[in-house]
Order: sequence, then structure tokens, then C-alpha cells
Amino acid sequence: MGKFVASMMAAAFALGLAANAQAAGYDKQKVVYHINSADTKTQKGALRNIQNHINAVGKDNLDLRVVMHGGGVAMLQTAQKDEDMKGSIEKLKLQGIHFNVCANTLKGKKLNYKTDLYDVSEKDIVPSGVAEIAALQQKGYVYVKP
Amino acid sequence: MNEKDFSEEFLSAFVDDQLTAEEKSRAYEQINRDDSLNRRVCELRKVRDLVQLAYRDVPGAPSASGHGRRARMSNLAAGVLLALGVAIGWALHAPGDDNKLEGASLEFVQPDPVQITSSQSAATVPSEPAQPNARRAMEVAKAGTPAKVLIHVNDGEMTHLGQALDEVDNLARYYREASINARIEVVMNGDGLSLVRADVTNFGARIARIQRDYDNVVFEACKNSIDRLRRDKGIVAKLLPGVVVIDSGVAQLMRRQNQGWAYIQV
Amino acid sequence: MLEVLNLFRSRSARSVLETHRARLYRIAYAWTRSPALADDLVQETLTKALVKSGQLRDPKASEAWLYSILSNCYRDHFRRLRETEDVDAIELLSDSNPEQESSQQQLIDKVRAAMMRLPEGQRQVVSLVDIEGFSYVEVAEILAVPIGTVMSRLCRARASLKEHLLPELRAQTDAGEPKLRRVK
Repeated sequence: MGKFVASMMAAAFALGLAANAQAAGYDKQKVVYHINSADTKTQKGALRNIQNHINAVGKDNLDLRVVMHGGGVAMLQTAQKDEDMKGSIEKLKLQGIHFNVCANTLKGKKLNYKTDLYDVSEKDIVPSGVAEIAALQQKGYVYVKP
Repeated sequence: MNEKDFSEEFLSAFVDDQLTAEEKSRAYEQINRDDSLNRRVCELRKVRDLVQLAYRDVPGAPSASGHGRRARMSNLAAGVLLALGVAIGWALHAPGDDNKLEGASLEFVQPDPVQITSSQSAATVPSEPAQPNARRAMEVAKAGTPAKVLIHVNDGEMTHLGQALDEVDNLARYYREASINARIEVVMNGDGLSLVRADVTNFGARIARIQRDYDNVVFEACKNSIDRLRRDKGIVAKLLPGVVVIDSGVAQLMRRQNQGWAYIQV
Repeated sequence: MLEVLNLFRSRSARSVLETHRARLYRIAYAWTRSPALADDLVQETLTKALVKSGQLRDPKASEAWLYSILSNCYRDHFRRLRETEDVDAIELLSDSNPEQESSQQQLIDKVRAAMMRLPEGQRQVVSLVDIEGFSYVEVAEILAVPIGTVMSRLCRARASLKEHLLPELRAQTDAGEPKLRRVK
């Protein structure tokens, strides 16, 4: 009985949040961008696509994650030296974009996320990039492969 | 061993990939060799395809934008459902602690025009009609929604193909180590076919190892692409053992998306 | 429970819900063949699931759990209603304007009519397996029947469908599929 009451109260509370959210028109579009190419041109193109996406939808209406694995991790290596790329990534982060990196790839390529990659903290690392993308889709994120 | 040795229930279970790995490979071989078994399997598949076709688009289906009946719902009801979505999403997303992986889905069409070679020796002859081993199936399948992932390979560049296999390998290993029930399908069409063409691929041994290590990973080749290769370039594709031929890569993509599978493009 | 609320604050649950709603609806439609009934059925399922989700101690709770609620709602409310409907009346509706319908739509109508002719238990099993891709074990859990029952219902359903749709099956075969060639 106690558990039932707790769940109904929780539902009611969530309800309240939902009603407010609805009133505010708060319904973020969820998107995951998949980057696995080691080609710098492709990577820069992807970053441009993401900026276009933000421009089209509005940064407050967007929950956008970038998942990098395999060759795509090179993007953050390049960003260490390429000011242009570093700037693009910074700008996207300031607009609320999340960047995730695959732990498997780091291990396979023997990369140290603290020294080899631009601005990666531990919370940005996911155990498997591909599994993360699959999981996000099952949570309703739309998949984009630029 | 003749076609009467396979019951309809066994063949149905074969078509739905509900057999154990051992039953599956035994059935696969026999069906390849026996025209009437082949025909029965094809008919079962056709019936299934017709059912899927008939309900792919249904009238009055709710739209994501919330028009119609849903839009007339009060905020209250909408809020209730939002909270439900969270609870469901949370509940469905915790990884299970199951330690046996579900078999992947085999879509068996026809053994030709592709030559499918098999490294296995001839199947043993059962002494009675083959029935699917229900008890064993129950042991194998566990609670919890399996993670379902379709990996789409349509690019023939060798480095990309290698990367694709890395992704498959890592994914299968991740789920196994996390004890997550998972099904992985690798669908190849267009130039991606070269990954599983025995005459051109660099990855035959690696794919064989993946197939051996993980019984929840299946490689599928698109028949339309195979036919096109033969028509346009006169090449009769020879596939690696264990690769399944499906009617159409694109149709499979849509089918799986409608069933809630995740999609990853290499 | 606090975790649930935190999760809610951090992401919108709408898309998750929409996925389940559309898929539940498709099955409900396959069972009832009435958009209005199917809609009610799904609505009731989601509402019941909300109430029960508070009792979800087991994080492994699956889609099968959600669909078993659908199955119970169906059994409790709609079987009684369904029995009074005239199958022929439904077929008549779909046969209106045969010339205007594409041949594919006619095929779809034939399949749906064949499905409605199946005994309910068979129809439920074949739709869960073919449309949603559930395993036999999951279907057994959803419908609360033994797995042997699932398999026999499925076979009988497929045999009936094959019989009713044989001309359509043959038409598909003749329509340009390559002839079977022996593989050596």
C-alpha cells in the first residue's frame, strides 16, 4: 500500500512538471549524430550540419548528442592543433551540445583522453559508442549520420 | 532424412528463428538440399510477409505530432502519459542480468542464385520428426527486452568494411560483458555486399570468428543487390558460409524500424 | 522514485511513449480491426501501466509486460463486444469502391479479412509474432498461455491463412521471382 501511494504521489508530481512543461511548449527534439569517419573534411562537414540543425530548430528546443567512435575520435585529436575545429566544437558546446567518446575506441587506439583529445572529461566517455547510439535510439533519439 | 521429418511447427520455428543454434544449422542444411522443404519454408515466409504488409500502415494510427484524438486530450492526461513514458523508459532501459544471448533472426528466402557453401559435414539423420525443443528455447530466452540493433553496410570501401566489423565485434562483446540480451543484424546491400562475397572479401576469417563466438549476430545480404550485380556486371556472387539472403535490404531496414530496432549506418 | 523524477527532469519522455503507443495501436488494430476500439484499448493499457509501474520493482520489466496489459484489457472488455460484430459487415466495408482501390490495398484487405476469420487466440499469436517480432516465450508471457499453445496456435493460424490466401501467394510467386535452381 505504501509503495502504491508513493507511486501515485510521484505520478502526480511528474504530472505537475509535465503540465508546466506543456504550457511552456517545452518538448525538446532529441537527436544523436554518429561520427565514425577519420576524414577531417567529413568531420568538419558534420560540425557544420550540427550548427545548421541548431539554427533551424533553436538551441533551447534541442537535445543533441554527438557520439564519436572508431575513426571519428580523431576529430578531437585534430582539434588539439586545428584552431578552426577547436573553435567550432567550443561554439557547439556553448550551445548545449554534448560530445561523447567511445571507451572501446580509446582502448583500441591507446589514447589518453586527458592528453590526446581536446576537452574530454570522464563523464563524456561511454563504454561502447555503438551501444550508446542504439540505446539513445531506443529512448527516442533520432539517428543522423552526416 | 526426407521432408516429412520436419513438422510444420519446426519449420515455423525455423522461420521465426526460435530454434537452438544446433537445430538451426541442421535445418538450414536440410532445407538447402530439399526442394519441398524449401517450398514449405518459402510459403511460411510469404504468409508472414503478407501479414506484415497488411499491418504496416494501419488506419487511425496515432501520429507523433499529436493530431486528432490525442490533441483533444487534456493536459492532465498528457501529463500522466508523459510520466508513464519516463517510468517505462527507465524500466525498459536497465540492463538485464541475463547471461545467455537470444538468437538472431534468420530470414530465409531461397538458396539460389547465390551459392552458399558450408563448412559443416552432412547433418545426422534424426529418428523421428523434428520438433522444436521448447524447453531448451525457454531456457535460452530470458526476461527483459533485448537490445535490437541493425547495422547497415552499403559502402564498399575496405577501410569502412573493416570498421563495420570492428563495430559489430565491439557491440556484441559489450552486450555480452554487460549481460544484456541482444540481437544484432548486419544488413549488406549495394557495394557493401563485398564484405560477404567470398571471392573479394578480406574478412572471411574474421566474420567466421564472429559467427562462431556470437550466436546473436547474423549477416544478411540483399537479394536485389545480388541480382543487380549479376545483371549489370555478370558477376554471380558467392557468399561466405552462414550469410543469409533476404529479399531486400531496404525492406528489412523498414521492417526492423517498425519493430523498434535501433539503426546504425556504417 | 526520486530517480524517476530526476530522469523526468532531465529528458522528455514523449518520444519513448510515442514509439510504444504506435506499436501498441498496431497490435490492437490487428486484434479488433476497429480504429476506435483500438484507440480505447491502447489508452486503457497505458493508463493501467502507469498505475502498475509504481509496483515495478524489477528493472528487467519488459515490453512483454506492457503487451500483457494490452492483452488483459482486450480480454476483459473487448471480447464481449467483438463477438456481437458481424464479420461479413466488416468485409463489406472494405470492399466498397473496389475499382478505386489499388491492387495492393485489395491484397491488404484480403489479408486483414483472413486474419479476422481466425479464432481470436490464433490471431493474437500470429500478430504478435509476425508484426512485432516477439519470441515464442514472450508471446507465451503476454497471453499467459503455455509455449506449446503458442506454437500450435501459430501453426494453425499460418495454415488457415495460407489456405485463404493461396491465390495471392501463387500470384506473388508468378510475378517475376526467379525460378528455383538447384544449388550444387
